[in-house]
Amino acid sequence: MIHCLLIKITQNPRGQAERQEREISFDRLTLGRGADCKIHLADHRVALHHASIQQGDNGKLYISAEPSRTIEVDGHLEEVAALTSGMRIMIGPYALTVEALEGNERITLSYELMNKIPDSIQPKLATSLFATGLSMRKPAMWLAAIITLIFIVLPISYTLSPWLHKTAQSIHLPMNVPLNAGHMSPGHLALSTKCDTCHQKPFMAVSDQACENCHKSVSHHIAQSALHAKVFKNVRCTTCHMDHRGQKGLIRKDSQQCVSCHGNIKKIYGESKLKDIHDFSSDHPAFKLSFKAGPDGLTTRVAQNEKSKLVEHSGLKFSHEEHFDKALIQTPSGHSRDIDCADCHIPNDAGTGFKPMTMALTCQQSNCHSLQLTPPIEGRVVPHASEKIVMTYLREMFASRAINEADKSGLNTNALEKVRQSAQAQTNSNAKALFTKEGEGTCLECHEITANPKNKETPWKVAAVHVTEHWLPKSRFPHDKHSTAKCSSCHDVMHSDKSSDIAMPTIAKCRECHVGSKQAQTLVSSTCNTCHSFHDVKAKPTHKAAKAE
Amino acid sequence: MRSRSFLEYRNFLYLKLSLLLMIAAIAAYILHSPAIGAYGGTWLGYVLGTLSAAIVCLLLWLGVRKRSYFGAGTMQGWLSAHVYLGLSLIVLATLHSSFQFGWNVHTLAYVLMMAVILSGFYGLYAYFRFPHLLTENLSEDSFESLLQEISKLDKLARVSALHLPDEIIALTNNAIYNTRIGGTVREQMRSQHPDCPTTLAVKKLHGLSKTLPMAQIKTHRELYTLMLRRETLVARARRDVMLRARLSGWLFVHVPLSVALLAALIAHVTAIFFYW
Repeated sequence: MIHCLLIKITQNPRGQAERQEREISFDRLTLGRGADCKIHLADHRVALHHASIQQGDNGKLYISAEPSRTIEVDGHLEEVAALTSGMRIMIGPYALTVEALEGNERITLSYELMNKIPDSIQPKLATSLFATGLSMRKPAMWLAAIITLIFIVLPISYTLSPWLHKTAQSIHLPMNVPLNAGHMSPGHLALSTKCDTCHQKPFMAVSDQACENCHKSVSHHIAQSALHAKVFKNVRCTTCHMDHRGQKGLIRKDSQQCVSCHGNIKKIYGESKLKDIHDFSSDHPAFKLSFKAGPDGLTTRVAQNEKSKLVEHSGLKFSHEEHFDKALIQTPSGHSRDIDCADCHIPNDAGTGFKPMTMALTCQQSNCHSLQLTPPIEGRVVPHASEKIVMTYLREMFASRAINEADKSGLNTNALEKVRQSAQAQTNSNAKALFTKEGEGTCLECHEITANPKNKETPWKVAAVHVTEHWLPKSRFPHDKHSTAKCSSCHDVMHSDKSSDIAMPTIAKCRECHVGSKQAQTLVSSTCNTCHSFHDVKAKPTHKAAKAE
Repeated sequence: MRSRSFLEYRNFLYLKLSLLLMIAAIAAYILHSPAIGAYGGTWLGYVLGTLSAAIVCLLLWLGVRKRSYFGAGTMQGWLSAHVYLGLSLIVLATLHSSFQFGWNVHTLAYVLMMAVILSGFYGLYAYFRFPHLLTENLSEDSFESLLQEISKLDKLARVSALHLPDEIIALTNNAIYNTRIGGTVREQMRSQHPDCPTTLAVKKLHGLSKTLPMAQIKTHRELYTLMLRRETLVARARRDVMLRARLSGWLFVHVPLSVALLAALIAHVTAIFFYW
């Protein structure tokens, strides 16, 4: 039996230690949370039966932990330890101290709760988003800083600093691309990363000069430079040509801009003789055809509603009707054939118009209208040239043939004179056949020829020929886009028997298919730009030069 | 009498104003139809852009106004205008953009604006739904009182568990020490906590009752009751945290994106006029 003075140390509310002593005797002193333990350590960190003290075989007192429990003896985790005076044993939060050890039968023990559980033992966790450290200000500042850097500081520095510009371009990092307001037009795609080509000065609108640096040959709208400068003094290239519009391109196809002036042209220029126009379908005036209207050879513009003036003086005699009469059309070999419009009116390479009509290309194809001598001479035809050249050709050819004949027969001087006269007679008879009604009048078939007896060398004058190529030079008409229509549906030539006839369709004919700017289900919408070009005056000075005048 | 929400401020004044703006903008957009196609650079585009930018600045000013006791108008009026004018921006700014988008600062500003508006819609939903649920959840308690109640339960549970087997002590300790109320953003936001130690303790305590001697049954029953009560309080406390997190969480998106929008808007306007 072991006698023990057991001292329980507690703290009063003022923090002072209080000792409660009691004497117990035991063979085995149990320590634990359980109510049956002699030293009751009431804390859930202590096991129900945590450890016990009893005498060992050698008579010494030992403290031993229950299975799977540990005790801390003087700072070391142990399962069994022999008690010695002054020893301090931690059992959970309790400190058990061997105060005194007298032999192996008397012992003084004290115990004290060292680590009291606080009233609140819940984990200290954030219970609001702010307490987690989540911030509104930090991400806001970061985002704002990044956006400012990438979209303001760097692009502007890139534009203003030649060094940064050069460096960034060398690594293919154009810093102003993120500011691009929209895709460039197809023609300007190459400038997508070269903003300063057009935007030459910060916070300044794109200047006309920037456009003219590349577009050096853009024509004016009005031929008179001074008038152009006056009318368009407040108009810049970018008034009409806006880029960053992608596939829509730079060229305006609407009529608004045109009608803003031409709808009340007198307001723009009081002396203008143009009529007001608002839409193709409503008040577009009759077309004005450009052609030679008189024998003087000057081109005039005649409105199609002035029908009495629609007489062309081309200098040619030509009947469309005859050319469509199969019975009359025979090749030199005697075969008759049909003629299509395209046999004579050959589309140009672009397909928009036609190649210029010439004797060789148009009239002499398939040996039509070949210029034979009278009588025909094998391998010889009269060239289609001026009357002077034709006469020279005839004289030289027959003189040459006479000399050849004389050389062969070895004729004397008198005989040579006869050969010369013969050559002269052949020349004259052929010239007569070509140029006069008395002969076959080959040239007279197409040309107007007058006698010119004063000129002994060339006693005939062929009237000048003016074949109109562009009837409406202030507009464009792509024939290839109208290829689905028959030629005769617009050009009434089937019954035209005079070259003075004009077979150009009127505006009424166009309006059968084309309506104005308004959308229509069965008709083709047509704006000013469909037929006209703003920059259609070929005379250049540039905008800048015009302003300087 | 039912209290009037800020949405009904002055008989829906700002809703009417906002609808008027939207209808006028749509009508102008349809009637305008510039020949070169609608885009931000037409006169209508500039009008809509200027109006949109002004409204954005006005909406951002709410952040300043609500921190001040002084200033024009009531906070209710400002909030009403904030919501309805913000709504009108969807139409005004979209028409200003003319549906032309790309990988540039201009579209960035638009996307940020839409993100701010969308987060604002969530905020509106949150303001109408969660305060009611918060009140319903806490009843006459407060979050702090719930925690104090849980602490009291913990003390009682510790005492009750002292004389019970170590396995029960371990379950009790685990519940007391490791049950998390709040914590990370994700923990605060989520509504389900399947691995909750208190719930685990409740489940296992129920099963362990059969293994105890009669003398401990009563104590075990007391502990089980305490743990059940604890589980309920923890759930309410967690729900309070979750509702408060969901009520304020959108602001952590709305506010930073709003500031980012301001920066993008400045960059947008600067870019337009820098490269005029």
